[in-house]
Amino acid sequence: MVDWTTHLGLGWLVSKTKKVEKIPFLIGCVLPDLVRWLGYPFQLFIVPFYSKLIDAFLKPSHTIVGVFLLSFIASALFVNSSSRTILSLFSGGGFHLFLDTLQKARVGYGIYLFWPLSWNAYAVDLVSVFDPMPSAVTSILCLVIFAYGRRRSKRAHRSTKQSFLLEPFKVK
Amino acid sequence: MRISAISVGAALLFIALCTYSALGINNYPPLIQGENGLMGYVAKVAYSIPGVVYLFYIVKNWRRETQHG
Repeated sequence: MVDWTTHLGLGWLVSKTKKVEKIPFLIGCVLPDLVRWLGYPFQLFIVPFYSKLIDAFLKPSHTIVGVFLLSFIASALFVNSSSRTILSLFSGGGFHLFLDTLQKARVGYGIYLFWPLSWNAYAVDLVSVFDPMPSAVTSILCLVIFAYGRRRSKRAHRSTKQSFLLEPFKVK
Repeated sequence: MRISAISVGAALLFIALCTYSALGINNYPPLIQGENGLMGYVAKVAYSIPGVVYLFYIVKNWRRETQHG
């Protein structure tokens, strides 16, 4: 699993394109983990057999079918939810699965993308859990984009203010 | 109303899938103890702190953010 800073940071950057609804997309980016993290406290403190059972029980959250169903469930959280909200949630979940497939292809770490049709796990073997690079690079990128956006909006605000002040002097 | 009925249906289907997945427990490889152990969880939580803070910000401003995008 890639950390939440990377998931939400890259999700935030994608949402800047305005092609998706921002908040549903961001919630979708962590939705599979929100479900899976419910089992972590139990997995950490109980005997291995039940730990494996809990892991197996929550595994559908990291599949395409699971993300599709979770998008419909999570859409109930939004007051004015539409088909676009569900689509944004689903694309956020799909983006989460894509990032998770970048991690180390060790036993138990692959993503069962096409479950229940196939039990094959997929992973690209690029990122380790202990690798701080994805979260560090994402954080820096987000800060740069945030600072640039803020500066641009300030400049735009200043120019509209100036044009408003010049308005009475315009020759009609 | 229609969407909430669909949500309930999706929740029931998801629980059914989870149960089916738990029944097929023998098809999964064994859990690894290296990165997936306690230190793995600690690393994940540590790197996730800025993301979790941002998620709390979204939840705190839920109404405003969902109304104005």
